[in-house]
Amino acid sequence: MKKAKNILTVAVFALILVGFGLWHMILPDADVSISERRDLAQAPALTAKTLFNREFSDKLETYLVDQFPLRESFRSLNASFRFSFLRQLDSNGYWTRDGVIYKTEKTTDEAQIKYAARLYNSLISSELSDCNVYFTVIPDKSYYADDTVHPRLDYTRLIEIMKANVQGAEYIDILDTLSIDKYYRTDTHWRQQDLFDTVERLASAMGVDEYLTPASDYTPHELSPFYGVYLRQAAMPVEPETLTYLTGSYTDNALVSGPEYKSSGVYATEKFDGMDGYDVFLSGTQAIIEIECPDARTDRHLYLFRDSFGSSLAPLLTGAYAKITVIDLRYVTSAYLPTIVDFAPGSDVLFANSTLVLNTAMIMR
Amino acid sequence: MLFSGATFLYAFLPVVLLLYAVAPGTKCKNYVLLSASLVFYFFGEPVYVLLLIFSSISDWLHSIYIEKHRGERKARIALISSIVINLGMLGFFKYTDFLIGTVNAVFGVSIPKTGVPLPIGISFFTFQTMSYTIDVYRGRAHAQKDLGTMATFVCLFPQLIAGPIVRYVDVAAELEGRRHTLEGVADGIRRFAFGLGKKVLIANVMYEVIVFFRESGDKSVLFYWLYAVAYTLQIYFDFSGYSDMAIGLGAIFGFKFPENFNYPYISKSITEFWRRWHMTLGGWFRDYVYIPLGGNRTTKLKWLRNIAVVWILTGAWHGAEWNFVLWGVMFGVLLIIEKLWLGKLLEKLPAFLSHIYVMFTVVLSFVIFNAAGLKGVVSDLGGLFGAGGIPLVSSDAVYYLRSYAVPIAVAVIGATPLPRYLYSRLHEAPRVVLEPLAVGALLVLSTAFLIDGSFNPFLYFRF
Repeated sequence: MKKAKNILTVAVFALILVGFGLWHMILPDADVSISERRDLAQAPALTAKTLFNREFSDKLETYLVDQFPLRESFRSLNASFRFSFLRQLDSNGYWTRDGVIYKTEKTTDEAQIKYAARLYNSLISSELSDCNVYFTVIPDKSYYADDTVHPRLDYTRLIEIMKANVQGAEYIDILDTLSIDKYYRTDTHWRQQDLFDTVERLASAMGVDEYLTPASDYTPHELSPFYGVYLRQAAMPVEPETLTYLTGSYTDNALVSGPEYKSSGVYATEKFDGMDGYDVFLSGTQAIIEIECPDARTDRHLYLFRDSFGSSLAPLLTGAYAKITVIDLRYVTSAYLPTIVDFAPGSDVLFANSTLVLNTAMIMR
Repeated sequence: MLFSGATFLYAFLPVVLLLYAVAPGTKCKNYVLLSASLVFYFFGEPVYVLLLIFSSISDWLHSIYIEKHRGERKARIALISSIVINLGMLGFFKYTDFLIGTVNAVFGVSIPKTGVPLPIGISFFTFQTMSYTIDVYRGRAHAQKDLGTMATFVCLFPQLIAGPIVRYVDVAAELEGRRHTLEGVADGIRRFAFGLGKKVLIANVMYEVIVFFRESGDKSVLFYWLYAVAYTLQIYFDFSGYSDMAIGLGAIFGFKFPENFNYPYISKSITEFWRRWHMTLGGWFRDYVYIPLGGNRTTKLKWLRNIAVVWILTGAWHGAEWNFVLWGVMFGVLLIIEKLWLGKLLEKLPAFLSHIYVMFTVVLSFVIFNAAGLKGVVSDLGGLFGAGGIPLVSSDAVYYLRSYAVPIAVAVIGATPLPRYLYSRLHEAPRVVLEPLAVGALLVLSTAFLIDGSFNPFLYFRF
């Protein structure tokens, strides 16, 4: 009996070590990890230099781990073990409640939030003094989570700081226009098809609500399966969902351009299978985009300072503005803006950043 | 290369095991081990591998000379030469910048530091080679005539960089000829997998608490204690896990390495704790420092001096910073107090009170150990007792306490002999399936943690 146990032990050990080792060798290397939104390490070059400066050994370990067979399954196993056996409250910062994935948040960082307010103020006083300026705060979905256990931002405090420090701009409160079911379960972002109350609130404050396209005039289009970034990063056993985008006559006829913009319209469906499916909206990460709406019912111009939440918001404003300039201060420095953007007096300006960005505002420049 | 890394587990080890299995005879197997060990060290320290080779050749030559001139003055000179070379290497690489920093701080000068990086495992292999030449000098071991065999002993990768400190006499016979049995290999595999699990599934998880604590801006007394307990568990599972892996690998290759840990956290006195913690280091200082200084068979004053010397050296061995020296001194003082007065009282106390005393002391000691210099000691110890007006409880502390309650409970129970006792009561029949299953599960789970994980280096590499 003891001999059988020993033979089995040696066999299991050898099978796992040699089996995975050989599997790794014959498995073709992948270029990217969609789940982690990053390029995967490739086999390092073996030269005398890389060998002696330890670059080879360091990169080899990263390569072996990055290209490991069943990598995604191992990541899921890790997450499941932590939740089910170790009873941890999160795995790599992610947690679930009723099938919705949330991310634990860092402590409210007042310095970062005040920095955001100063950045807004600097632009308002220098470039936007002749414009109608508004700002709103887009809450992370954990604001609506029925949870008192996991760390999250002090949203009340964050908004208080912004309201107290932003000068020359009217605050538009959208908190009560949203709810947890208006966000994707597996992603950080909100659902475009559920934004009508929010858009109505914003448009009303800016005096263009009567020009908005009613919800019934939009046609929904579905893309699936949509693996939100939280689902991919958390490696949790949660089902993917369906991403919906809305088209109508104004979005169809909108002309979109930008220094890095390669798509033809407000939706870049070819991006759905990329690193981040939400990049369908305005092609994802872009510093500056101009949306011209020839059929718009006004000749007004909106400057939308936004993060990725604004990508799905902007198309819904196309009926109300002849031109929308979408600016992401994470990718273009504010000091450089006057040289590339002409801020027309009398235009509307909306600062619409999420709490995630405001609490790490120093990534904006 | 780390034992718990993919390079080691899924590339290096399978290849070495295969080559070792097909190599005929002990001598040939020794050369496989020596080559593998040099590659293993080269991966982490491409240049310092020359230091390892130099150390092997130096002590090989010294030991042969010592044996040839046994009983003569020349042997003593050769011994001193060997010790000076070994301590010289250790002193230069480990303590030069520490001394420069201390001189700069005390005298307000600014002597530039050398910036020479510390060769991995130098504290371990210099102690092993020193014990070898000393044992040859004392006549406890014969000088190894074959350089390859000698180098195999010095470089043997399972114990090369983080112990246990294997003395030549422990493995002298096995270096010349060893038996490989199915049971020995299977035992080694079980021990290795168990150590891997201790390191990856417990120590690394405890480290996460430490990272969250360091990063948090929401400190509290509770958070400081959570950190202290997590670090106390991390260092035990990290170091003892590595020792288990080393002993397991040794067994796979037919060696029997000495044990390094024996459930230190169940001790009822600090004296007992040090009989159970890093046993090979304690034994080394006892045999090569404490007893040669006279041990306890001398005047009380000299006895106290001997203890003080051993514990200052023990502290400094662990790191070239004053907090390590303080850590060693703290244990030296406690051991003296126990030997003079407290020991008898502890014997009379109920066991749980003795445990509380030991664990309280040990937790504080590891806070000192892990602090960033003496300033860090003051700050971290102060935090444990609410210095600086920090609150008793903070939301971060409560969250992480709840999130890590089960891992901490598993670690606390795992640090006692209870799991082993319960397993020993199991009949042999279920073990036939359970043990291979456990090996497989530990390997697969550890791999899952490594692939999705972040922290992995062994703490004791820096020594």
